Amino acid sequence: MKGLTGWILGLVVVSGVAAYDWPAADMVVLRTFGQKTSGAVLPGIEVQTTSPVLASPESGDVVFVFRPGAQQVQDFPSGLGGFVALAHEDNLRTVVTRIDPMLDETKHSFRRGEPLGQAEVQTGASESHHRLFVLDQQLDELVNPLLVYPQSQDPKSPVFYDVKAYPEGQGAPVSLFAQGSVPVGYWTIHIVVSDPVVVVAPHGRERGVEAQRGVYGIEAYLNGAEVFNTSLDSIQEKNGRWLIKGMTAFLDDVLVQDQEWNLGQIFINQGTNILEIVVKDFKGNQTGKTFRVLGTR
Amino acid sequence: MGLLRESSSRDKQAMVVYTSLAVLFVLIYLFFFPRILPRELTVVPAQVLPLAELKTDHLSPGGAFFVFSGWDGYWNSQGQLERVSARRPQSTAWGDRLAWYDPSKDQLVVEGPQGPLFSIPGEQYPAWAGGRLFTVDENRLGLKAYGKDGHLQWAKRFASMITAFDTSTTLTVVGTLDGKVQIFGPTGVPSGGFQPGGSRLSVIYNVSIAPRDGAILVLAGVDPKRFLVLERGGSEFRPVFHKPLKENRPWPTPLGFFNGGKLAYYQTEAGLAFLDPRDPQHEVVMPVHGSPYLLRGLPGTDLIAFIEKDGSQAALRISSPTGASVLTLPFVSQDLLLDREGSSLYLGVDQTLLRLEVRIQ
Repeated sequence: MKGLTGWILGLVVVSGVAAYDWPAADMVVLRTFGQKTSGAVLPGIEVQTTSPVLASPESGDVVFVFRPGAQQVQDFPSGLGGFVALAHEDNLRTVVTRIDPMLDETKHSFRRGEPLGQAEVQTGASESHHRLFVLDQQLDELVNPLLVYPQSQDPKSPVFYDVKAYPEGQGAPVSLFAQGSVPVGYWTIHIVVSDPVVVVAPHGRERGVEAQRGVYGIEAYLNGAEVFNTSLDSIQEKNGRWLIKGMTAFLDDVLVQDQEWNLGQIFINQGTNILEIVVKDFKGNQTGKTFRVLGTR
Repeated sequence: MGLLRESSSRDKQAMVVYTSLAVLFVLIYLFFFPRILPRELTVVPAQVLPLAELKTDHLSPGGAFFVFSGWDGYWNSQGQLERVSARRPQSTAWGDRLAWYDPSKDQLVVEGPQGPLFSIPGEQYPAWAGGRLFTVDENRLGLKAYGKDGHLQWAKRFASMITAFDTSTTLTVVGTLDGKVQIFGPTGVPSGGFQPGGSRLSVIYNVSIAPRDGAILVLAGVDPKRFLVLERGGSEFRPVFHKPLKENRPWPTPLGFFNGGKLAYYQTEAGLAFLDPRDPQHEVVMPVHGSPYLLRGLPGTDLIAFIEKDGSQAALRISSPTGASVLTLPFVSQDLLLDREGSSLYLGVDQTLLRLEVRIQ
């Protein structure tokens, strides 16, 4: 069954056919799955819409409804506002947040496209921001929502801001953009990358707003041998911490700061070392950098 | 005139003896077979307190903070309001502790009657449980527990959203959207867990742990929703009772303990059920209009005060755990508050606090 779910998700990605609909037609992704902002990782996506009503992305049963203010029991706060969690036939659950859910107690299921609730709009704003989550009930993990929602336009490729090498032990990092030779030994490689996107201009505004999204996949090779390879398909929990599926290191140790990834330790040999790093966004746009690092004694 | 009655000194002596015997009998009866007269509960409106800005330089110790509608404030041990101010962001109170987020300094502030006690950097979503401070992750996917002085005791991430949590002095129980109950010790070390089955869809709606960790109550699942009692068996908690419910609201409904864990309650389709968690088969259900909220035990009695709410129609109700309704006071309000301070019961009705004097004689 695990294989089947993975196969379905893989098919969705390969074919570009979305399993679900966006909760509103004009949704634009502002923050991507796994993106770290102000030190906090988002295990879902943040979207923007001008639609006053958000709809069910797929037919499903109501599992949980949260209505802040109206709820007197377990009414603890979060950044999600009101939300509705739906269970779908494929063992996935979707959560649509920052809405004022429909209050009908007799409503226990929604058809695809049926209104879930009114968008929570901040005073004076024409658009509203929402967080969408997808949970795999069978694999017990948080799934990248972009694997099930329709793909949006994204003509821009990710951008490298820096590639830093930290010496073993304590020491200041060197930027591989500025320095081509380092002493022989173990170095920890950090990259600072993001995926720029121009968000469509809301009504009444002429120009769009540039935003920074997180990248989807990172690969690194040292002298042709793979030293790092990950794709943000899902996040799992282990010992009360998160890790990207397929990795052994915890997410906080890999995504160390906003836009900064720790690719782990490599050994720089004497002479020429070829370090290749490729980053890609979810749309498949990719940017690669190749560094010729001279190991010196 | 005829002779009506003739009495002798012998008759008089007999009368004295009979009277003495009767008095003695009554005294012996009262001494050996005393009958406790039922105590009488009276709830007297003592004060109407319209909420408006009220400032003071010094708060008396021994009172409690409250958060209600658009206000937070403090009342003293005599039940008098000492401070009322516009509700601060994410403010939440427990006894003489108030936590709120200060956006100007980007920190969570925890204060007591004597002023700020400690602060925690960053935007936090505070929640109190069992008098302990927790902060909930912005996406409900993490939980942090703090000590009384604000030091971080433990932090946990989850693979599914937190839907309910509760704590005793030692254990913290967390329920999540994926239908798992996880239990953590004082330092955050996992102390067991449970995933209730028997329902078509798994989810946890509410959890409650008895004050001395004797039992855990759980409301879980869709089709059907179930009520479960878990009891400690060795180092693990195991289900000892489960019951399918016809009640199927997809959000947290009331569940908890009174009398130090000797009495449990939860919401059923028929009303509010009371039961002994050691004998959960036998329960007493008290009919309730709408949903029961804010259940409070009245000190010195086994009575329970709560608010029932159906739309904007609400009522303060006081009942016994045997299901007898003692008092019903209907009112209309959107926001609700019910709290107890000494012999006072505070009832929040929109922008007004009503202080009720509870007398038990």
